[in-house]
Amino acid sequence: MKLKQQTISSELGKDFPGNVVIESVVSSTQEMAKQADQTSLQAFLAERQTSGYGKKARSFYSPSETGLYLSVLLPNIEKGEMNKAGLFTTGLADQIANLLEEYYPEKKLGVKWVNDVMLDDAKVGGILVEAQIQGNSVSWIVGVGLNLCTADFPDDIDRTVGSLDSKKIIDRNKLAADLIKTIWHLKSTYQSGDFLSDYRKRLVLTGKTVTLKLAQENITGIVKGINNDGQLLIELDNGEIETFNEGEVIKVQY
Amino acid sequence: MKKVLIANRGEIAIRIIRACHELGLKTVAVYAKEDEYGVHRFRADEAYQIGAGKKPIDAYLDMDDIIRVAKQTGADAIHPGYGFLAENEEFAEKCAQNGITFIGPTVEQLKIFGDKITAKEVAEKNGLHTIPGINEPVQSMEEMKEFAHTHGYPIMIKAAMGGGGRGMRIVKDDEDLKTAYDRARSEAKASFGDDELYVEKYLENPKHIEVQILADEHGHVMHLFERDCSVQRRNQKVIEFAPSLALDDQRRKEICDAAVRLMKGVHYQNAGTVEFLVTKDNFYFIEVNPRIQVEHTVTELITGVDIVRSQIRIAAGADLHKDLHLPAQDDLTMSGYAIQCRVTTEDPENNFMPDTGRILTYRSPGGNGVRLDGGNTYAGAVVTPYFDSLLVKACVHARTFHNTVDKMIRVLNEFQIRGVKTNIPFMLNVLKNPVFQKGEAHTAFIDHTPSLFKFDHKPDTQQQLLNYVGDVTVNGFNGVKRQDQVQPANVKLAEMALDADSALPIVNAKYVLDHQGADAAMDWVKKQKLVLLTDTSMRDAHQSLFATRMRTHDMLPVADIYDRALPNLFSAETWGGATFDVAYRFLGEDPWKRLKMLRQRMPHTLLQMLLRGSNAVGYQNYPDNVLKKFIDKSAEDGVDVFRIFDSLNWVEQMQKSIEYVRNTGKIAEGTMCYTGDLLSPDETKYTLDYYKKLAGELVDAGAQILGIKDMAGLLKPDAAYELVGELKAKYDVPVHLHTHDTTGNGVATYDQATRAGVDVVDVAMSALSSTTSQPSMSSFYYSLEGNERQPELDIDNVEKINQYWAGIRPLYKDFANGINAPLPDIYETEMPGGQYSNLQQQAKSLGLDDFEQVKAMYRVVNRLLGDIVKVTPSSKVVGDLAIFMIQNNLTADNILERGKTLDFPESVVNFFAGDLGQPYGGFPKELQAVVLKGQKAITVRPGSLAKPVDFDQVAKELENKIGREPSEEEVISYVLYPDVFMDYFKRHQQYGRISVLDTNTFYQGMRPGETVHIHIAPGKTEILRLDSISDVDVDGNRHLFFAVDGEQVELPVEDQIHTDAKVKVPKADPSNPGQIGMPLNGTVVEVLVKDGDHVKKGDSLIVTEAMKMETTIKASFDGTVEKIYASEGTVMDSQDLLIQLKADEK
Repeated sequence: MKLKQQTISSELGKDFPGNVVIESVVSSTQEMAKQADQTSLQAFLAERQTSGYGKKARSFYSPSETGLYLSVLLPNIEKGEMNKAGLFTTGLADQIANLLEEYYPEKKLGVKWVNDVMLDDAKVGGILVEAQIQGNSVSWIVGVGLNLCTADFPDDIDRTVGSLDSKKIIDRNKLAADLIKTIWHLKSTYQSGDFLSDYRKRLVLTGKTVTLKLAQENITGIVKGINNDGQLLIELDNGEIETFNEGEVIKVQY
Repeated sequence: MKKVLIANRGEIAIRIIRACHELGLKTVAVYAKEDEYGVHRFRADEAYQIGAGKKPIDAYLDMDDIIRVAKQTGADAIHPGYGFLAENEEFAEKCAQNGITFIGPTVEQLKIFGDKITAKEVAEKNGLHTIPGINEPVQSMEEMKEFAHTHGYPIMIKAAMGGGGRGMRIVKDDEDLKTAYDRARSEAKASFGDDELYVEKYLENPKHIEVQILADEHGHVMHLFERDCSVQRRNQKVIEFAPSLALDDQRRKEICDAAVRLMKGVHYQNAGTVEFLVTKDNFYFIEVNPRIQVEHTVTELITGVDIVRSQIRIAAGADLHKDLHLPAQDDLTMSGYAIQCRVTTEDPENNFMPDTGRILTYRSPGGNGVRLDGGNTYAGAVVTPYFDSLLVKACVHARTFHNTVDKMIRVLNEFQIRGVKTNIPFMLNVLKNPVFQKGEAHTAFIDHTPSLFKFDHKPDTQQQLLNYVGDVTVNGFNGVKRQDQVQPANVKLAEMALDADSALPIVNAKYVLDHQGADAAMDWVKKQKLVLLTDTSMRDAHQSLFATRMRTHDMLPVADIYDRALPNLFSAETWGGATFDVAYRFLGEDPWKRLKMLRQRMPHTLLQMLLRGSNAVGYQNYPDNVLKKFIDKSAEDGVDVFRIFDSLNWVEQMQKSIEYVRNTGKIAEGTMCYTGDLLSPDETKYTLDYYKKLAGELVDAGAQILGIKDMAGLLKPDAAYELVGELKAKYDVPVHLHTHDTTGNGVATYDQATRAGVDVVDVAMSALSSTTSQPSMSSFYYSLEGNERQPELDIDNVEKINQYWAGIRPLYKDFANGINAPLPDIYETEMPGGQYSNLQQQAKSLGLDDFEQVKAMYRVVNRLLGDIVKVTPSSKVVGDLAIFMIQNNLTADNILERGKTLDFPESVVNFFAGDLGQPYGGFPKELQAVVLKGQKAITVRPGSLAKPVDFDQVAKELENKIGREPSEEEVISYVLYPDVFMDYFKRHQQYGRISVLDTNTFYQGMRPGETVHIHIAPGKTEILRLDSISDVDVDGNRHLFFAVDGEQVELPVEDQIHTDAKVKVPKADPSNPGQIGMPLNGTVVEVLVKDGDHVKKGDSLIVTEAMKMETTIKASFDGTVEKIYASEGTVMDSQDLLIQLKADEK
């Protein structure tokens, strides 16, 4: 079904004191958010994105009907909160996985560090937070892309992607509202780190030997888990455990 | 008086502060912003910035601001020092108006002496002579002539508009005057547009003598004798001393009394100096300096009077005699002599331009009779260009002038100032000059003595070694990735039972060679019943095992006891082969020096070298005159036995070398390379007959001893028995066998050779033996137990020396070739040991992991080339072609066809072109044509085609490049290896004598916490400790903190590896909106602007990432990007400074 602004707004009710903007086709909801006034709370949704993207501007395939793509602009972030960003980005993955399991109860969702939502080995949901800093004013733009029932993906996607359930149709408007609420709610609760134990249960690579690609080099080691700031813990050849706050797992030894 | 403000900076400010503190007075300092680190501000009780916003020097001239500070702090008096406002009557007036005592003369006196004309008038009024001159422009030559006749020649004609030394002409007599006058007029008109001329008397070689005056406010004026300041460079004083040697007591009294007369005449108060120019017959007043002077120190030293203290007390109303207790003038005495040298950062080799920078090391002298008045000088101080370049005034005091000069020379030599240039080398030249030492230097002395400007550049060994250690510690030893730390080997040679006290000569081959000549030496060898040994430990052993990397440093302890420990050896192979090239290229050592040092320490042992017949120790075909020169010099410097070989066994390439060696009177060993298997019935080329014939040719060519060089270890025991036996039977020359134990049969081969009558065999000490090296000396010795030919050896000494080598070897493990076991497959491939691992690496780097395939192809290639001798450089041809064939899918069958369209490797082309000589049996013609593709091949000895080198011309060329006359050895090295030698030379300039470092430090540098003792010369050791290494800073440097002989030294070293992605940057200042800091720990992903870009508010500047949050930082105002500190891909910490923006002015 189509996304309806009215429906979503009424679903949100007082739980989200911000504007909701829906477009049928945009380049990307993230772009919409970046162009908007960074001081007001808003949510942007699109039926279809022509240039949907994730981290490092990698493209996120965003066809209409079969997915959900939105960006929530959280204004007035304290500059000091930036240091806690890792908890927020990991918290998002955990909370969104929880939410999706309500809609797809038979599916068990995992999380690949930092915040890829996984169904078995396929990525079904992508999350990217883009912070905008100008002087002392900081805003966080939370972008979420979900593959709900997309059946066919283009050949040039180099990661393993999939959708939650190609056969099940769920109420996208309700999901959109719940998603926006989840993000808004997390904003005020993430710092407690209560979600961490749930996140750890979902973390898919624990115990596996992986190769982590960093800016300047690659590191290989065993994933031990995450610390209380959301950083990845890897045990190296010499037994030492190092923490990482950036990097991408490019190789996994199963 | 309770509090004094010092309106000055640097050393004089400190001087005044000290005097104040001695008097119990509080002090206030003032400083310009650029001087905020000035020591004077930290020494004073209070310090305040003045002249904000003004240029640095102008700040100290800001009278109102200074007075403001004085009033604000309640200072009662101001001491102006020298320069700046010291002679400024307006300032003195302002002080008076504000009720502040100006420590100096009265305003009136400043006025009088501030004007050259009034000063002169006052001087004349008080009976002083001034330099005669006409005060108005001269109208005619007659007028000048009259003047000259009145006052005497020489005279000086000065252009009115000239100045600073320009437009001045000296005239000696009437004759001279005629031409000079006209010329002066026209030149003045041309240069200055105005032909007005003045005339004054010219003083020839005058001395600049000045008299120190001290006067109180009660009418007492006295002098404190004189100072001689004649040593000037372009009218700037360089060295001052007191008293002058040019004045006898009578003249001294005359001049000093005149000065007092003048000052009394104006009722002078406080301190001042009257300056004169003094000739043999007269003395002339120049000016008065109504202030304290820079060189007041020397007067203080000879009289004991503290002038600055006196100034302050005089200004407070003290009486010279009643309060300061100065004696009456006639009772004032002086004692000894004092000299002052102003140490500045002026670089005498750069036209005395002041150097700036950071002082890295600062060590100052001291001791008996030494006084140092310093400015801002300490390790870490930054010398800026804003103020004068004076670092410190070094003053000495001693009984005689001679002693004083000695002391000053000692003091200047004791200074250790690194980081900025100083004028110390120049002042040392002046002090050592006999004219100065006689006290006869006049004002033109420096400008007319060019030898003062010649500097002898002694290298700063300590700094050079430090630079080397720092560089290798941070960046590693070129090309070698550092492995685990090798424990610094405190390897010592154990005590041995040597015949140290025996006066008996050691009669061995060396003895016979030296006393009876080469022929007699060979006879002696032939007569020996026992087999003789050559020890290759110091050459072929390490060349085979660890790429020739052994350093001279590690050879010397053994060389010292060699003769007595191993007197029965035939020779020690210590030179040639690859050692020449490697010494220069990798070890930073001079191979000639190694030869001479070993020769000196091993006078009773034959020293042997390996020489390639046509290439000496190089890789090109040199002209014959180069070969001759090289051999002559090597023989002169110590080589006794020259093993001469050719990689194709072509005797024609060995003839000249053999001839040249024989002519030196040393021993020529003509050598055959062994290849193939003479025992095998399939061997058709390299049969016993082949070798017998070859040996004959070598003997005919003049070889005095026959060498058999089995580079690949192919000579099987029975083959050795056959070969040696036949050679001994046929030829009446000694036979010297050299093998490598690569195939594992070395000792067995030597045993058989011994039984066949071999005269000498090559062995290495056990710790450096086997696999690709020579067989073990001890093992061979023991293998002949019971045999009548067992060599004579003190096996205990051998063991002790061996233990030493065993301790040395691990230091070189980074260069080991990785071959740990015998390689019997080499019997099949015939690959020399040195090539085995190199070829493996070469193949691997080209993606050919299957070495078996390479080995198989190697054999194929050998057959294709006609089965050639394989040793450097011919072995490289085979290896290169083998790899080439594999890469291009060539086989023996298709190479002739497919090779037509391929470009063969250079070594292969050169081989077929005849560059290596003519192989036995000739070239395979078809393959040759295919490879050469029409290029002409030569059939003669390549060396015969090379043009003789003009050594004189080369020597000149080299002299220009290195800036001094080169030695004969250096010229030869330059001819053999021009680029390698020049690189070595440059490195030597930079790093000095790195050969004195221990091997561990040389190759691996140091680790934090490590201490090394560096023995620079006998009795001269430096203790070097590395305390810590910093991270890489914003400029890409690491800072190493050493302690040199206990003293902390910081050394910045450029990190060329940049293994640290983390870079040290300053933190952003949160109160400064132009400083944009990293929002959180993370990585810089994108930098969207560059230095100098103009940005508008809202423009994106930089993107960072952490924990999958991508942060874009935007400009919060319109402005320009001043500097970008961040770079893409670097990891940075929260608040690290990323970008410095400058806001647009509104």
